[in-house]
Amino acid sequence: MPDTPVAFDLAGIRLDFTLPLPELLRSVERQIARAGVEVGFVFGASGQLLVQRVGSATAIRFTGHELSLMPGATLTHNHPRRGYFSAEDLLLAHQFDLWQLNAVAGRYVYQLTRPVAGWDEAGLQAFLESETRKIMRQFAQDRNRPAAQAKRNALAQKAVKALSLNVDKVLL
Amino acid sequence: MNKLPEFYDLLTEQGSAEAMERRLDAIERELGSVRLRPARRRKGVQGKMKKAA
Repeated sequence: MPDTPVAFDLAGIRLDFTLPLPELLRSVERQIARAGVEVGFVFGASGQLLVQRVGSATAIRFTGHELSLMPGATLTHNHPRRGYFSAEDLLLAHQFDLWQLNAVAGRYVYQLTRPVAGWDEAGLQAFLESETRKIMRQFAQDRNRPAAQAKRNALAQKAVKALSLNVDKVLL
Repeated sequence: MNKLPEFYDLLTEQGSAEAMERRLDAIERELGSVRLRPARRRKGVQGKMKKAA
């Protein structure tokens, strides 16, 4: 990781394992909603804690072992700038076969749930590559950085629509 | 699922924006180097210039 992780007190997070998974998630999400850095928690299908990680300003790093725990699990994390899913978020859910990926954005949580037919990883990769090529080609012509960044920011939303992914927006 | 990598960096919003900036920089460098390449001299033009002199 290019920069050092920012201090965040994971020990200060209260985990009430008597709660059913959806309520446990909401409880954790309320506690990380205002964190200034990204914080991620991965829970198994029966609510057991599999991974907890504090990111740096630029990334949360998951190890190979942690990734091996992700199929069928739910990963929740906060977006300090309160944004929507990123393309990288979508890719993570697809590549590591998550059951659900949640992103806390201020007072709301975006929930991406695995489709009944499973993730179409190849479809997502192809869509993102094709759209990214378009953005880059346009940038090569007009050198308009803000426009290129804005299109990149909108990429996940476009992918969700194009692939008919199931995203819910829930009030925290 | 594909073979697991050693690690996976889930980029934050800032990390994702910075990664994009690096890609845009690379495009600008590439285009810049094309623009800076000196134009090839055409033999025909050189010959005409000599005649005129």
